[in-house]
Amino acid sequence: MMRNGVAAIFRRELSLAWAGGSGLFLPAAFFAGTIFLAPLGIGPEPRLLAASAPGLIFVALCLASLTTLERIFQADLEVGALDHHRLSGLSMELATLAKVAAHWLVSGLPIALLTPVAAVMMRAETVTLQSILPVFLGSITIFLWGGIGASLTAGLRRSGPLVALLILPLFVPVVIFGAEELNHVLTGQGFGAGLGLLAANSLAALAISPFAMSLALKLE
Amino acid sequence: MYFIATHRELQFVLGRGGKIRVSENHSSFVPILTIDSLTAVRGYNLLFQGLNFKLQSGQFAALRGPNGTGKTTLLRMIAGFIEAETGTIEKVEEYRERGPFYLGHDHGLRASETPLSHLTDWADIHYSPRSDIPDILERVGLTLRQHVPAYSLSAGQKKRVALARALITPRLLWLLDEPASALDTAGQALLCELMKEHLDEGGAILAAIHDDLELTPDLVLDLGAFA
Amino acid sequence: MFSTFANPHRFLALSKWLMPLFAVLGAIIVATGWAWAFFFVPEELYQGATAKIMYIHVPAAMVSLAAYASMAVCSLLFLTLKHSIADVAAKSAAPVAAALSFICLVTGSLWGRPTWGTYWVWDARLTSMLFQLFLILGYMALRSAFQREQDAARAGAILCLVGAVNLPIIKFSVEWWNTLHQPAGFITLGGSSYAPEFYWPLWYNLIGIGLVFGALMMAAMRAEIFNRQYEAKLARMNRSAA
Repeated sequence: MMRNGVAAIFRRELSLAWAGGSGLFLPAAFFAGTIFLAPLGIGPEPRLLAASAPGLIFVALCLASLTTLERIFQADLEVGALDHHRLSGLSMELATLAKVAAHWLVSGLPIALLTPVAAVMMRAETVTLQSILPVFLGSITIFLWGGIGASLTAGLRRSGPLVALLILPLFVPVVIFGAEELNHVLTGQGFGAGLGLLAANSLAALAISPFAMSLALKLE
Repeated sequence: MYFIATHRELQFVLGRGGKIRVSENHSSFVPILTIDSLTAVRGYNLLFQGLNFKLQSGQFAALRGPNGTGKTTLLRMIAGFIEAETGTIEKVEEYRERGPFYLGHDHGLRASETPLSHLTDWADIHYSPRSDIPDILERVGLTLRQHVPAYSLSAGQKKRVALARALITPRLLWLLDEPASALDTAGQALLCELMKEHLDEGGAILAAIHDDLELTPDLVLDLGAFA
Repeated sequence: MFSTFANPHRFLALSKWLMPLFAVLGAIIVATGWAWAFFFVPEELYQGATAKIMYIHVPAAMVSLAAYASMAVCSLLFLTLKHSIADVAAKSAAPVAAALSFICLVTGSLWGRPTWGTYWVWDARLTSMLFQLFLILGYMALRSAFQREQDAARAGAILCLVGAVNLPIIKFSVEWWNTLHQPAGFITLGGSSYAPEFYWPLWYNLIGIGLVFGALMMAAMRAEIFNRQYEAKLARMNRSAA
């Protein structure tokens, strides 16, 4: 039995996402759809597809994550559950982090696991399981920054496009470092300098995001 | 039984402030809530000003006033959701640095949650024993509905789940915003019963109410007078 | 009573004469500065007269960066000290900063046409400026999405600070990316290797544009304060009428 309050919030969020059903793999499906559409626009030329694969995978990751981000806190705010979490005596920083982690687990992780498949479809030279790691780190960062956008707009109706505008600039380093690193891996050069920078960016997000989210949710 | 948990946690809080005498008489003078010259502004509108109020252990105060005088705002201010414009709110220290028990207009259930899953999560989040849950569900009359997701529950049933939360995590101060709304006669009787037990155990209640409950308030706070 | 709106009076009194002073001084300096740059500064050896767009482009870029930094400082002050005047300042700086970023991007792209042969090159500085513009536009969009000014103030301040922390990371990543994908025949804009005859008019114009920014920001702040006072008064009148 789970005896930790923050862990309980994580598990509750996770089980609600499962119970949500169809919403669960929506970002992954969106991601796959984007990747499968791209060759139809770019053309089947293998060299061209392989060259655009890393960038496209990261752009698709950013866009796919935007499809669910706005709901991270909105669902709880609408029914008043967030009020109760604020009175529970738990640290709101950890509670918000637990919620983001649960959402990342059901929406972000499947995308990272899909990367090799996407790379094969994009005719990448060498597809290994290593290609998961850059997208894995990138998706964590994207969900942490995205959580800030979600918390700032939780009380607003139809906040999706607004969240996109707010946090897209924050995705710049992820796309740059991530795509460069993925390019390294997909061209058979193994990991490069981008991986450390990508991880550093994740840590920066981890350090800033919980405080910004908990501060933003105190809006009233 | 949940009464044990209640008692233990009440003693934790009150042990330092003075001996609490449970039931028998209401003469325990533990201040639960002290409001001093409080002013509330929403947007550019002044809701009330210069509000002074004291609530002690065992007291039930009815919060009254016409619509738009800031009843919900006051309750949310006391809960700590809204910062006061001026003035201070002092609350008794709750167990594990919790806030007071707050029952708002929203029931707090997500559509796919069931009463059982909700209360289980609630107990875990608050480090309360899960073993009390069957008794509490029985108490609020939801044993037969414990596996029904919230989208199939009626408003009154959801309100009962909200009330059950108060039994799982005991708090000294209850802030209730229109607690009787959506409840049927039996539900209102249950509400009064729970409120009475809470007062007897040394808690305090501030409730915004429109129609009189079975339970007579010890104090009436009319916000219309502070506009 | 309305402590949120307290003490803008000193600012109003100060800005009443400071704002026109900045505006007049700024206008004079910018006018003479451009005249100096266009007619008296010798033409640059390789780029000829086109390099003179620098006297608009560089000051706009620097002042817009400074404006974003001031928004961040004001946001921090607002979150920690809860001074509403800090929020008014951050809110008022945003549109001016956005306009300056936009001017910087447009002049940069016009300058790029004769220099690079194209209107847009993914140059590190231009790219960073583009994302700074996005950050400011996001800030303005977020603020306008809230009904109540207090909510907008807090949300905006948090976003602005998160953006300010990220701006150096964005700049670093874009520069890192740029060195990896350095296009051929690329000429770097700016740099510190200016001869003094180019250097002094640039500083002069920078001061001018800075003063114009100050005047515009103060005008916007005054308008915002008057607007809030009006709203508060309206609410009071509705109250006593009811």
